[in-house]
Amino acid sequence: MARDLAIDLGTANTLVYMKGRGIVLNEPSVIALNRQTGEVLATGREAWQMIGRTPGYSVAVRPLRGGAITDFEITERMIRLLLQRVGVSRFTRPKVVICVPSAITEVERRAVTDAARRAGAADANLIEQPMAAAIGADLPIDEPVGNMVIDIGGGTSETAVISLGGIVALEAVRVGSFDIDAAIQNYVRREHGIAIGERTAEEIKMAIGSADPMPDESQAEVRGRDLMTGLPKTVVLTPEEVRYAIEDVLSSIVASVIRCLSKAPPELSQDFLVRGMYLVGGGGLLKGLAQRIERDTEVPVRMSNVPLEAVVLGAGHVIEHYDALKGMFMGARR
Amino acid sequence: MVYLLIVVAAVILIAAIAYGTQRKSRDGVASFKRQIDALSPEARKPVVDQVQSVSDLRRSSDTPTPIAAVDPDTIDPGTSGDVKADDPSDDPGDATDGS
Repeated sequence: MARDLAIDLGTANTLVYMKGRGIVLNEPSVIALNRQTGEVLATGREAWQMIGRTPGYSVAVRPLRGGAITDFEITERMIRLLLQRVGVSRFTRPKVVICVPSAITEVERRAVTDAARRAGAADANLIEQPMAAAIGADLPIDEPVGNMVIDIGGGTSETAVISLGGIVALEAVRVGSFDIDAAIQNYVRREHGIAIGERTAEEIKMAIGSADPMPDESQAEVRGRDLMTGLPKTVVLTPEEVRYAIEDVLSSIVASVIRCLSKAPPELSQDFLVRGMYLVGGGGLLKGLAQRIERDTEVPVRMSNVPLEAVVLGAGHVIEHYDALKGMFMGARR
Repeated sequence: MVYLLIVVAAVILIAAIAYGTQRKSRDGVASFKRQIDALSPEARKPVVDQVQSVSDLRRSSDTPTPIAAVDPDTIDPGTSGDVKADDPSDDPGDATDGS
């Protein structure tokens, strides 16, 4: 008998929670394929290391963009391989709960559940990421009080107001930490005339990227390919430049948080001033982002203890109490 | 006799509908209560414990991340130094572009 699973199928990382065991897998959502034969060469961390460094016959891709499946066949293969790695076989078909962005369309929703069923799940249900994040972040969502969660992922940023086990107000934008990386890539290309890869842009973000000026900031040496000469070149990037480069992306995330706040009923709004908003997701780890949101909204922002795992832990709780919480699945309430 | 049968059938039908409606509303209340109970702090204790253990694990395995960060005084763009170097062939258009 298979153990049921909860999957956080993120644009950046995929996490799997097994009923009764906890988190059993945490890998980048990347798959490397042979271009000619279509054969899978690697998945997860191994495939992630290949991004931008593959020879001509192979390619490392992220099959999800903005939390949605862009290549159904590749996603299905990736899910199948992930399920195999956690012990799912043709004879052990578990029930699966998958966390998805709340803004996905009906077609995208069906694509995710179909991919999971074809990959070996007996039954696949979806749950909104902010709801799962609120459970995983240990917010008192069973009480009649306003709980606000900001989930900044690789491809989406979602803000939700939750009370009495349900979503009261929701705002989502298809902008996330990959857009921050892309903005850094574009800036370096435009202003310094060098091409850098996606992994280098991410490293710049982690090293000197911030949403607000920070104490003890340092500069970074960045190496890439000179667009004019084609030769390797080094430039120095300052934190101010990075802040300027990512400003548009950050503004769009903050604007969506403000829109969600304005949608919340007044009775719940007053709770936020006392309880604050909770920041989860890998994008929330950007230095100074909590302070920036707090400054622009005038509402305290608190960081979850487990920003990267909150969503899958919340979905894991749902799989542990499957019968009692199946009313929370997307489509169950509509 | 026929009238009596019709009246009895109607009464049974009305009673069945009333029972069904009442049961449905009771089911709604019960399922909402089950859901709220399953989200209570007591029910979520195992998850909270896991959050704690994941959080502890992260704290214990925390290593400095700024691979590319350097002190402004030590910058020498002409030398390789100990900072992160990107593969020169790493073209953003090669595979995925992350956006």
